[in-house]
Amino acid sequence: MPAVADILRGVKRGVPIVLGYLPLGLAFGLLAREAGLTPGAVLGMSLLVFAGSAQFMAVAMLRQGAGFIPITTATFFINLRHLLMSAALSPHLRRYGPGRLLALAHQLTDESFALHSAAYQAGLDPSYAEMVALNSTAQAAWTLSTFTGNLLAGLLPNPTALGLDFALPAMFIGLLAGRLTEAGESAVAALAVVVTLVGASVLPGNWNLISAALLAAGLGMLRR
Amino acid sequence: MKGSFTFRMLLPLYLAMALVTFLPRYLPMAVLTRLRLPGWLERWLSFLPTAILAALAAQSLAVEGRAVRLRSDYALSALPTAFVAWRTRNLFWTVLTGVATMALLRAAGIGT
Repeated sequence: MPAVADILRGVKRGVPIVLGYLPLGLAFGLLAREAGLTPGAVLGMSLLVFAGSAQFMAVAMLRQGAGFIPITTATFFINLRHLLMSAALSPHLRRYGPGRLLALAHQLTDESFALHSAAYQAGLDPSYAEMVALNSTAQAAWTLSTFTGNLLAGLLPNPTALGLDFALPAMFIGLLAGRLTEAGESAVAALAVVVTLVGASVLPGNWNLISAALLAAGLGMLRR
Repeated sequence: MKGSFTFRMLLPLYLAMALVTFLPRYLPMAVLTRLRLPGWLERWLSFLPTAILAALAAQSLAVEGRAVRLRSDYALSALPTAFVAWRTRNLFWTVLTGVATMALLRAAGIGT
């Protein structure tokens, strides 16, 4: 039996993600409706795929009449960045068997990765129940807001007026600030920022993120 | 046009998308947790979270599509957000500061 306190802590830690997913999910629901997706189709996509930027792109492609192979290929490349996040969490997941890793992997996103890795960095050791509770809070927020956005498209007030579109950037800033405690980490972060920005206009897709992570972590490794 | 894509119709596509999304999320943790890793790889992995987080922060603040652009409202909200993050080390206060600053800027008609 997982402890109730662990589950509650996981839900509570997921709140920043909930705030950030709300405007994104509503916007996705609206876009999906304009592309002709039924509420059931939106619900199914958010539950099965659960990948924000890939879902936005898939719907845009469906709208343009793209087929199975191009959409699947594009989804693969957009989500390839999670390869690095999965690798980065792995040293902390050695105690879990394949079944438990399966559930953690399905709900691995940029945002849940950011919170989990920050917890490990802070010396915390969240239980499996806490991690799954956090991940499920995020996925529930995403799924419900995409579904609601699709059903009530246009009837809801624009959540960007509430500043909620800044929730995820603020979360990333907050989590990053917690890591810049020593020179090595700061140098790694600085290189990652530079490569991300320079690569954005030079590299296709989000290869700027992948290159930034690979190179900047390499700098950390080589530094003494 | 409305409602022309139903769940049943899109299910094969969803399963394919789910598979190609799941594999990169699963395979590294499934493999790396079962291996004894060389020291250099462990060291590289230990710097990966900071590198990824910095990349995500930069991307979410200043990249729109393939253009690098720091919007004035994002820049103005980032300053108090970073200050509160540095002073309090509390994620809730940090996110609240960012969202509240952005809401104030929107109310004042600043930004895009």
